[in-house]
Amino acid sequence: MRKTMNKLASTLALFGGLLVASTASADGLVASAGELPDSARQQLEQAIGEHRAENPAIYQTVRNVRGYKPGFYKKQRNPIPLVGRELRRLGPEALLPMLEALAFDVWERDGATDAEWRALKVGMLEAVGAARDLRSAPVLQVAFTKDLHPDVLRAAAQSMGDICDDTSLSMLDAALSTSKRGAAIVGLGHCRTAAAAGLLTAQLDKTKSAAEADGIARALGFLSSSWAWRALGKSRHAEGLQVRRMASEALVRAFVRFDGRARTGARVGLTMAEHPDIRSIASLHRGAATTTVIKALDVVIHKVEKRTRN
Amino acid sequence: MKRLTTLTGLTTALLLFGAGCGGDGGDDETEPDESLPPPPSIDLLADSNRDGVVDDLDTDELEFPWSVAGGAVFLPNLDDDNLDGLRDAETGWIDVVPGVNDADAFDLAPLDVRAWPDAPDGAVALVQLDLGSMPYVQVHRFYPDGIECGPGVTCYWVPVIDANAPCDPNFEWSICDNMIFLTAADIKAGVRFGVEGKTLIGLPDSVGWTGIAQFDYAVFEYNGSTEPMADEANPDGWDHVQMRVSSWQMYGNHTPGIDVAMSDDVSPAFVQGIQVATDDAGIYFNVIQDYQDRWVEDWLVTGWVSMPYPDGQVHGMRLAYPRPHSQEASNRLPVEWLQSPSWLGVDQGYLVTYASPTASTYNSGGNHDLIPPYENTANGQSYPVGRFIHGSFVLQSTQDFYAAQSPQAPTLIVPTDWLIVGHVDEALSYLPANTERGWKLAIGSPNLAVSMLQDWSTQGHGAVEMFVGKQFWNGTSAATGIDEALGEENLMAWSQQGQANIDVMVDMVVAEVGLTADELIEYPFLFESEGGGLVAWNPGTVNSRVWGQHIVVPDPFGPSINGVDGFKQDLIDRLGTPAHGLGADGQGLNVFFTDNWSAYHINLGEVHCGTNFSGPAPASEKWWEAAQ
Repeated sequence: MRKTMNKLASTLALFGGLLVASTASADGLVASAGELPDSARQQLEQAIGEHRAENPAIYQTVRNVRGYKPGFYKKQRNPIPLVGRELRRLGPEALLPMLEALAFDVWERDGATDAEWRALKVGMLEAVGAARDLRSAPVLQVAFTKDLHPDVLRAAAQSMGDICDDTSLSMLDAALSTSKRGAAIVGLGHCRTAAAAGLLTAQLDKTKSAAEADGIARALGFLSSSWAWRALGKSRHAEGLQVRRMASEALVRAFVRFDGRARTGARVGLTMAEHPDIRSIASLHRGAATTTVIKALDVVIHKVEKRTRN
Repeated sequence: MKRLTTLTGLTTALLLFGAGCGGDGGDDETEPDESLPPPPSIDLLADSNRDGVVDDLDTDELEFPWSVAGGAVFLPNLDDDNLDGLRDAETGWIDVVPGVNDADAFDLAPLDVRAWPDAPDGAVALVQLDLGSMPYVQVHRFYPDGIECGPGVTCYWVPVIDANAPCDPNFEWSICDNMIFLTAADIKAGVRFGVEGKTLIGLPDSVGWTGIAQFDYAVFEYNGSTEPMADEANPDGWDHVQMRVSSWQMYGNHTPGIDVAMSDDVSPAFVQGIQVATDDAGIYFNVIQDYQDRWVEDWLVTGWVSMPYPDGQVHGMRLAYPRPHSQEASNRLPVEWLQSPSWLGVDQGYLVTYASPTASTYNSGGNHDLIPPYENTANGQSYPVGRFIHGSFVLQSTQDFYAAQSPQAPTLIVPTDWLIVGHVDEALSYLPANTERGWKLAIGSPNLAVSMLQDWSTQGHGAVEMFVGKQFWNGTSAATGIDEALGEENLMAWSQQGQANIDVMVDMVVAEVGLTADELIEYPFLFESEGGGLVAWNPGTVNSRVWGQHIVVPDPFGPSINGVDGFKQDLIDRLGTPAHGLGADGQGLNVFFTDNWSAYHINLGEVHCGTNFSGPAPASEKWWEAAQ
């Protein structure tokens, strides 16, 4: 009897979920269902419906996210609304409820200010990326296309980078020559592939702006992080070494070419790439660096060599 | 306690002013020192040799110009000794009720006209304060027998220079100009003045003031004479004394005599954890219940001002400054709490570093700290009372204030904008050590955390979870396995990013201070991203409260390795044993842990953020010996 009831409940929930999704004239946080490609929309609608039937509670849990509500975030040390960490900790089980809220139907603002509502967008986009599920890509891409706020763009780009499918990579590449360049750089930094590394190293070699070089260098550091590549496992070790080398070469060149904050950014990047051949890479790519710069670079090399694990 | 308890009442104040003013001092004259030349006739004296008394040892050479070698000091009188709710410098009259509350008289720095019994009977004299100091300095005259200053009111201290006083020539106490006129009787008997500051240098209300108050004294043979009388010491007839308002000095982990710890009452578990440590240390624990902002480190920054006192002691007051904005449930600015009896009182006051309220996380106290005293012969730096350090984007007016507070200035600025909260105390702290320097640098170390997690994983503990029983706001369990953490690529990248940025900060401190590798104490924890900046993923243990031999560390809730919290045990071994020579005797600190997970960690802060400390001006830290 209980089994029958559960099945019935699941069926109803599935139907209800689909109903909500398919009749959702209401917009999601960053998109409306109609803005998604048909196949993606249908696939998500079905997945959400089925998932809701299996685990309706998680939808309520996501809905109860608190970090954008004044009663909670104003207790924070830096009292600005933030929900990324809170949602990320819900794990992959929260992915579909978040995608529903982002693209199909989101709950009422209930007095949330623009900044608070935007924080929900940003945090949810970040958390979706952390799940690294290809089904999220179309939603993120719509957000990246539609929204103009730099925080939202950055979060969408970051998560596109986390997923790093071909479309996302192309979009981020294309955005390098647009006003979304800053977000695209961050996004590419989250895409741990040689292709993304190639795009960023080219940008770093090309830029004349110290501020931008700082940002690109830090993104390259994130992309080439030796700790992250180790987390990806032995199967990607060789690829990781290649990417870390590409990044290190460009970062050495930037270290020599810039000073001040941009050089600090290059240093941060180099110590993250932590390439075991840093010394030879540096000697090949430092060019006609002055004695002072070589000395400064040596300090970084020494630090990297001391910590190199791979 | 700031005062000698064996001496009470007004008599104490008289004694402290020394023997320079024989006419006023009654029985407190000292025996003449025959090794010294005879005193000049025209002589204005202050405690220029900084021994806490005004006497013949305060020679002309020391009194002008003010320098690290000599020159008297006065306090900004920003406490409230008579508990009237106003800072004492805000009231024109000295807040003293003889025999009841004379604390305010202690806050005056003595300035004496030496008695000249043989002065001409018709002589007159002039004491003048430099015009540049007029808005910032008040001067009071002492009447040992009291003087009627109102119907039925006897005053012993009477204001004689106060730029804020009414300028009414018909008013007996018209004191709004910078000159004090003395009669022949005054000159013959000597006169005692007391000097107090209304503010400090480097503040929005004292822009342009150097903090040096110059007093000039001349005697004229008769009223109407335009030429001052000369003597051997003063051939032009003028004697000059320079006094300097006390610098404000920040309390740091290393400051001796910290006697009060503070926290908010938001979390019983947290408070209890702190209480155990404060009880052990025997210091007062003030659990603030009348200001709703748990980030007690952030909304006030504590410090002190001081001037010399006899027997090598100092006299001073605790002065805190508030953050320029409020948060959480409080609808009052932090300055309003500082203005309340909860803070303002005897030898305890406040200053304000901002012209108008403004909100930025970078202006919170957690982004401001004090590197303990150091001397680096390699780069010629010496900071005997410590040195200000702060992170990115601190309000310019606060930076200006620090810049003026020698010798803890100039500030070392390190980048903290990679953190979402952006505070320097998220990465660095300072630990007492039995070394020549006396302290070591505590640093957050994702590198160590990852290394430990890897070791545990290799040993077969990869499935063991951290943060067991801990939750986030939404009730989600925080429990995370060791291998789970090590396998999350962004967590690893963020942590390594944190490490790389901490490296930059540490290298800057190391270069300035001259620290060696064994003077760096690592605290293992990871970072994650939130809103585009980093924040501690597990309790950021470097964000601890340290005073004396005590340290309160956030409970790390680490993985249980063979029945023991691996992170906690590491911290106990690292901090609480002789392993790193910490503590005054090198045997380790008294290490305490408190549960700050729910009240602080998940709200982007830890123990240091939620606590504060204060203490009296330390006698061992004589800022004037190094002030520029």
